[in-house]
Amino acid sequence: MSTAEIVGTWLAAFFTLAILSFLYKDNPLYKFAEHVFVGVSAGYQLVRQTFDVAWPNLLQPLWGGLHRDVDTLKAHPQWAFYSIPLAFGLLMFARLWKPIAHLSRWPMSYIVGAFAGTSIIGAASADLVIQVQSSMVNLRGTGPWTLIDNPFSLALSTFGLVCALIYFFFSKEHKGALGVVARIGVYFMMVSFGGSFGFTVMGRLSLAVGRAQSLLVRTPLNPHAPWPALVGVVVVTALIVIWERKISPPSAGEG
Amino acid sequence: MKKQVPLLITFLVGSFMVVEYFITAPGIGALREGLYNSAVAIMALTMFLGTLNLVEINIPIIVRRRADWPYKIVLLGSLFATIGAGAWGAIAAHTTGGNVIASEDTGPLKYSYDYFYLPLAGTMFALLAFYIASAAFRAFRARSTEAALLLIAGTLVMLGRVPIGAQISEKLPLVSDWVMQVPNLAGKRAVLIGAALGAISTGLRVILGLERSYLGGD
Repeated sequence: MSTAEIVGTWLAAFFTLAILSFLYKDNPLYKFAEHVFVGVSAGYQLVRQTFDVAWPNLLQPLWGGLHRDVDTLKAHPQWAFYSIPLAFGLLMFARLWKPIAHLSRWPMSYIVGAFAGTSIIGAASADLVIQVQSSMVNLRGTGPWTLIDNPFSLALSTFGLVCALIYFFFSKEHKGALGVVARIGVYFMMVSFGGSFGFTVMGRLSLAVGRAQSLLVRTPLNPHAPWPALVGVVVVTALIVIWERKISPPSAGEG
Repeated sequence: MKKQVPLLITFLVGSFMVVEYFITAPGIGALREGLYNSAVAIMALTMFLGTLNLVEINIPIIVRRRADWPYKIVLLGSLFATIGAGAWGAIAAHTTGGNVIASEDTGPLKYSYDYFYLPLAGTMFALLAFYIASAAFRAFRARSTEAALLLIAGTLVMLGRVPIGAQISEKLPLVSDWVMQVPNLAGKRAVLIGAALGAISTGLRVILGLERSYLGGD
């Protein structure tokens, strides 16, 4: 393990504990780690978007074409056309200069148009059709009955779907039989939200467990565990105590 | 002209993206892919605009010594350090004839990802678990039938996915799966179908120029 990796392991432990210190209260260590997180995230996304998206889809064909790179000319014979999206991309920066700020709407409208068109087809084919198709189940089940694959569960699922869809039907007032069915639809959606909520909580908890394991369990990536975490706890606690004393010094009668 | 040209661009690009799905003529698919990839690449370039915006907002705070200004130095420092790490790896790969894109998976950027981004992001999201739990305590009071159903479903799913759930009853994980696969699926499917219909109608409104909020004021 190199020195850089050892330093990285200790820093990772420190930042983890600095973020967790927010559970006590908002403090300078948390703010420090939070700002590092924002800066690193923004920088990381910028670099990844540049090299994973903008470079292969735009900059590389133009660069290769201008330098008469054989591979690029073979892969992108019409490389010069890439100057159009590049010009559109650069127009985005027009919003930094007020007299021509309105020109930044051109690339924005291009992006919005492309994604609006794609989302229509995507939503229709991937969500709408697939979901409706998947709802058309054989109520007798497809094999030996299980807790999920049995006539009762399948019928209940279909019934719940119809009721929940009726809840979204706003062309008629939800009164009488329609109101009852819509109400049942709400109940199904509440169970759905509860299930999704529980699922999300468990996902977040598993992340917390993962962080705890990475701090406390000795692995090739963290061969000094749990020392970085223990030292980190002491350092973070000491710094928070010093900060607390600084913002509210103990009164004369104390201690 | 300030609005007509953008509306025309949206209409032409958006309607082409829709119509292309129904046309099988040669070259149309490639044109669609080119247009789509261009949109994605333009979006990637907007990251530069976002970064410039971040700098533009934070520099005056530092210069005027406003509240929390030292943290803004930390923010900009970590931003430029990460960009520098990415650029360093790319330049090193380019000068040695290596793969520029692959360099981002092994070079200094990978270090920044492993030892800064990953622990910080993981802990940040893990922190939410505590706040979700506290929000759940307030939201899950069974004051109505709906809240009771939310409470029961949430509790069953959570208990069914931890070892203590199986200790209480070995049926609990099965019940948790049943909740996720039967009533949850029914509600989720209805929401998905509704959202798909909403996405289609919003997409059409945008293409036809009825929805113009993305153009901003003026």
